[in-house]
Amino acid sequence: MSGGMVDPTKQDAIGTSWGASASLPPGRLEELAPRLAALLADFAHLDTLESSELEPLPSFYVSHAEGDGDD
Amino acid sequence: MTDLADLSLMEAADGIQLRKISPIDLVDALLVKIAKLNPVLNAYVTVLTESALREAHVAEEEIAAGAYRGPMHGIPVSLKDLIYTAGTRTTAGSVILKDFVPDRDATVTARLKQAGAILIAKANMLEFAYGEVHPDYGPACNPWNHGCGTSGSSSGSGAAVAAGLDFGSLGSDTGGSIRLPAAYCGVVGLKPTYGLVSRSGVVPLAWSLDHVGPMTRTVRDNAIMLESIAGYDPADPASARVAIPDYQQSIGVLPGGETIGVVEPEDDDGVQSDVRRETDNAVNALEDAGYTVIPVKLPVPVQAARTLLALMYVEASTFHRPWLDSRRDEYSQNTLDRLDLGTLLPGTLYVRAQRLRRLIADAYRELFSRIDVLASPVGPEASYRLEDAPAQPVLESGDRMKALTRFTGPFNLIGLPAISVPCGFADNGLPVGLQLVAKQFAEPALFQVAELLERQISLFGRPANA
Repeated sequence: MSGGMVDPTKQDAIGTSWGASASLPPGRLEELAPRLAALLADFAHLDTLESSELEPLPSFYVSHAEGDGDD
Repeated sequence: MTDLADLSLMEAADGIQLRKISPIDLVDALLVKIAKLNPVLNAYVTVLTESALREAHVAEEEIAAGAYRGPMHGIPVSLKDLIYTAGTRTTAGSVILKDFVPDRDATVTARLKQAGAILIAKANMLEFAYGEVHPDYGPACNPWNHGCGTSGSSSGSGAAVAAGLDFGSLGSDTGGSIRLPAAYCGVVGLKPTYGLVSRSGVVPLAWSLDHVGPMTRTVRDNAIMLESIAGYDPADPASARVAIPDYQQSIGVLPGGETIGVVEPEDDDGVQSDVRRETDNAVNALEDAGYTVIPVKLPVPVQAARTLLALMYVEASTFHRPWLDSRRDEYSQNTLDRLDLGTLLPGTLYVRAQRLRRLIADAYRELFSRIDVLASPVGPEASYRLEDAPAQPVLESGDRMKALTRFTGPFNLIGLPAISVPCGFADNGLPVGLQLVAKQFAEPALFQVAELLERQISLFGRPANA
């Protein structure tokens, strides 16, 4: 690789180029706050789907529709 | 005599096989056209003049010696500039990688070379395929109207194929990035089934959503190009061990009782009336050709778009995290905004999105138990004026990509194959695409329907000003 650069597709490999944990520069969080709030508010609608629109039967669910005497 | 650059890939391949066309003449013709048009279209960031001519001479000698490799032999193609090319820079449309020269080919690059293809250029693209143009590269222009955009992120690939600068290009697609520019530029773009085409040596945007696929001027050309790159690759953890069929075999097969589900209009889909008119006409053409057509609803399209974005944000920011520490000044502002926002999203959101992804896949499985192919618009509009300033990525309603990926994004989430095929023109004279989607690894079904539509509509052609 040229320019002393690691292969970008490998840069998530443990021990290659991960440095200290990423942190935002001072003031950046405040700058992004309104858009982060908008994004989180939009993503909050995903709860609607999870709870009501496509809720699957849990894998441990046992149907009693046929009447198995447990009631 | 027809200009060599105006031939389809298949026509050029037939000419090469019969030794009526020389790969050297093909490359020469394209280089003349590239010199004339690329300064206007900005479709390519690197033109490989010398190596393309060298490869053309090798191809010609091999074919003359009787070592014809198949329909890609001697065919000039381009690659989106996030696909590794050993010894040639691979920028990913970014400043961070502007001098990055891989020491290996991507698997798809190696497979194209093995098939005898000639690499003529690396194509312009949105920065790291993440929805924004880096100002150092500038946008690719739409060959149908140079004042209009191509959509993205495989923007240069779409422009180059439409303008006849190459015979096909490989793009990548994480939420619609092959199909949208294909539709906007009036070419055929395939996002294959997840796992069919290797992503090894392709700069990722979001690992669980990324796909690589061909963009061509005709459906048959697309099938030819797919066949040269598809197949298991141990270097891609998501690669599937499946047999690769002859993708051309289904082309020309008449409808045999298949059902096409057509996505019904909805109040919130944002599809412009002229786009709807053209996609409706295309569906009518398919019905006239003998397919059974039934109306269907897209399962939870807005929620699917949100799910896609939640995954994309977190995966992209994970990949970029080392550079967000050390090279953040080299991103364009909008890309940096998305990446920073992605670092701030909670892990619970990512897990929830992955759970929802399974539920959405279940809903589509149920839908495809009733249909063979799904048809919809590719995007809501037919291109846009380049002079319109790019908006901030996140609006009050969330990321602005949400509306654009309504029809394309679900199939990145669940991995089904989807193709964009030109189907008409909007009122502004720009192309409109119809998206066709099939079951897992049912690319032959897509090629069958798409090619029939192509014949019914007979749109294959070149922009007047290209």
